[in-house]
Amino acid sequence: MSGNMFAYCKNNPVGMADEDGDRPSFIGETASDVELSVAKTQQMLTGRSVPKPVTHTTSSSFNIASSAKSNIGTAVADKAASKGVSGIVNVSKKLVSGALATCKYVDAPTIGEVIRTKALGSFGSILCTGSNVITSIIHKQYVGACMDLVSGAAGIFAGYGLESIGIAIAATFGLPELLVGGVVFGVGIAVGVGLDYGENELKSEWYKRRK
Amino acid sequence: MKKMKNIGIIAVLIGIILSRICGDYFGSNSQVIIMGIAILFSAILIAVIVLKKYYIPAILLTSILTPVAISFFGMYFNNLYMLFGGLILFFVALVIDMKYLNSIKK
Repeated sequence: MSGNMFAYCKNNPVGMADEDGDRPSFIGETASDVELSVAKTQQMLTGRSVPKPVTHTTSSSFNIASSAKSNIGTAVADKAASKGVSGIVNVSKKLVSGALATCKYVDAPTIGEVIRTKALGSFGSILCTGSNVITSIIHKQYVGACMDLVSGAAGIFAGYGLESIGIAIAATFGLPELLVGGVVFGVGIAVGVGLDYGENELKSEWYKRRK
Repeated sequence: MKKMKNIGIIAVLIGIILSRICGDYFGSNSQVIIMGIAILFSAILIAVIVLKKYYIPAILLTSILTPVAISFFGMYFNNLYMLFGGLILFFVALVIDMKYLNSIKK
């Protein structure tokens, strides 16, 4: 097209060749080299981990020390959170003293109430955030750990906020719960995806600039 | 109310996990598609709420869906300012809605 007779090998006729006419490759380059190069480029562009080529000489990836650290961190975060919310009990079934309320504060919650406050969602979010933070700290990415913390906190706030708004709308306007629950569920998923995407993009931007 | 117990936080958790799994396997475009589907699902349900003539709840739910839609366009155009602007607006809309709902109940 351009009249350059060496365009087929990217102006490098000594080092590169195009034997099958598909695309130029370095002389002596094997298929696994190309795969590795593509994987590295993909990792660089997306900032995410890519599956490594299978090698039979590597040992097991399980590391007792890092696993113990991660489990301890998660357990401490969960304990602290359950301690913090142990006084707040969900009373979404009724209105408290004439005002709309989804929670009330009790001085001495019973065991059943404490178990109910330790909900699956918040436990899972704290677990996710804790594991992210520990991983970032292990890789010495302290700014990344802060981003993980902020993202996790924002996710938990968004989840509880959406839920309380949904319950309040259903209670106040007499709307079918299924409809409000569906909207809350959809918006919740969208917010979760947005937070995760934004956090990853911000992290990769930050560490690319630092390199 | 029993059906909606913990639905918000579980939805956010499912969103984060889905985003990570699909992001690792199919790349960041899949996250945009997931978010688009979730927003479309919510928008259809809001349209059903409007058809059932619950106008004020529909406005309240649209006010929290619109900033998320802005975030979606930020993701689509790969514009972080738009993405985070939408998320911040979402939290502002949450707080305003909470205050409004508390005030009309009193």
